[in-house]
Amino acid sequence: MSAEEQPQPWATPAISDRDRLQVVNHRLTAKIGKLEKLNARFEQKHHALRASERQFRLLFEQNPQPMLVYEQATLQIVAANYVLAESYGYTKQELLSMRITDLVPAEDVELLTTFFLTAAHTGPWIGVSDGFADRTRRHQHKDGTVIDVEVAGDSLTVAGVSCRVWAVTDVTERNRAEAERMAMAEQLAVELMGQNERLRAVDELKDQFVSVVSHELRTPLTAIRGYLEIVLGGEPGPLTPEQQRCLEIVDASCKQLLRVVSDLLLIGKSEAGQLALEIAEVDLRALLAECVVAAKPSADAKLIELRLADESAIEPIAGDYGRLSQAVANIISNAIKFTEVGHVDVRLLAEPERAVVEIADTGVGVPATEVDHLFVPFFRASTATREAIPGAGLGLSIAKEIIDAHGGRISLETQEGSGTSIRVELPMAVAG
Amino acid sequence: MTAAATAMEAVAQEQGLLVLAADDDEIVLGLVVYRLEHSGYRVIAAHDGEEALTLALARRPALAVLDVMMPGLNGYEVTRLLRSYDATRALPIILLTARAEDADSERALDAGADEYLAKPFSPEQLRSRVEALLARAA
Repeated sequence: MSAEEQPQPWATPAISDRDRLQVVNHRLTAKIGKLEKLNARFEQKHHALRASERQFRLLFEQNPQPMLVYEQATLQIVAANYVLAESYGYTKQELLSMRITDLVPAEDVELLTTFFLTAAHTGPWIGVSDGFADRTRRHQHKDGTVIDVEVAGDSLTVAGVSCRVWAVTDVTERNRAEAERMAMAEQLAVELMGQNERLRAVDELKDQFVSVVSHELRTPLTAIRGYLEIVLGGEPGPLTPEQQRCLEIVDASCKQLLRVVSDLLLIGKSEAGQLALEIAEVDLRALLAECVVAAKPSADAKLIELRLADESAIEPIAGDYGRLSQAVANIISNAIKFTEVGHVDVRLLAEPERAVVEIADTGVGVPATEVDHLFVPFFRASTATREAIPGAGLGLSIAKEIIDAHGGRISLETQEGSGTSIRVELPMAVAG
Repeated sequence: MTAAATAMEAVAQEQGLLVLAADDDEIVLGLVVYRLEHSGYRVIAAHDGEEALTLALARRPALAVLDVMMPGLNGYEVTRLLRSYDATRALPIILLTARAEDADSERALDAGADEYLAKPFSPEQLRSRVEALLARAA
């Protein structure tokens, strides 16, 4: 064997063309398989992306809220949904040739630009939360209509370009309603203040009226009572029994009128905080006895028993004898007026630190719903009006004013049809 | 009327003591005049404060009954002026106040009145006050 014919250990073993083709074929098949896998994966991703984009577009396009996307650097609008185009009056084509500064009224453009330059123009924000001027919240439709808006914005990247997406809410109606509500509230406040002022004026006028009327009544009453006294005294000449009786009725009515005038004056004074007391030692037992004696004729006239239970020993209290007599007389007079059959009981009780006077009757009583009003001046119980019981509705309110001025307490228990009991508590010494 | 009152009336009648009565209300003035004249006094009537002042200085009454609420000079002012003249410094004065309020009675006494009577007063009450004041002044 020649050297040329010697097989070389490093030499590639000879393979047939067929084998070589097969190897290449294998490799190609493997590569194709990989590519196919890649392709499938790409297709999958592409589909997912397309689906996501479709979803986004759907969400964007079909969103009932006006939305747009603009390039952050140029403020150029790159997308707008149907609702926005529709409501602003532009075609989508027109919008895509506009910048967002074209959507605000001309006088707001500078402000909006400044806002973009100064405010953080990234990340999510909602229209008003940046505390910017109200004018950044105004947009303008194509037809010039200016609307109030609330804008929610966020960043997004479209084809590598930084953009912002806006969702716009038209709040014109809401703001208008709000403004209307505010205006109404303000108007109401002004009206209430005016009304308050008027009420105060009426109140003052009422006080003046009561004061003037009662004083003006005193002068003619002086003449009436004075001349009656002279005529009844028989000085101008003797009276027939009939004349005497008539004039006595005039005299009684005149006294009643005078009492009403005095009551009005007292109410006026106490409402003005001017009810002065002349404090001295008061023997309540004597006071009650005096009041009962004075009221006896009117009780007798109605065949009602007026009883004084004088059972407890009691120290004198500090008070205004005249005023307290007036208070007790008013309560007793009321009890008699409201009682048709039965009795009126007056009791004096000594309790620790206080004296208690109870006046109970067996009269018509007062409906429970009216109890709270009984101490209000001029209030008349429905039983009083129904039974035509005379009175101005001042008796109990005056009694309460007097008892209150003494630092005492007056309370009432009543049952319609079976009677009323009034309890007066008086401190042994007047506070203050 | 008590026996004492009748006796005083007799004295008044006899002496014919002069009393000044002033009130712008004709009817009340008439009442005061009636009561005092029928109690034996001679009465001069004034219808306002100035007239009362003039009459008091010119006629030198033994006592004056003045209404507080009079046009021009009111009762308080007339009282104050009367207290400033020697001739009337000691003149007994009763003021008739329209209100039975403490403030009014205080004002009456502050002005220099000896007594005050709140309207509506009883004529008999007035008579006895006049009588008592004159007795005190005598």
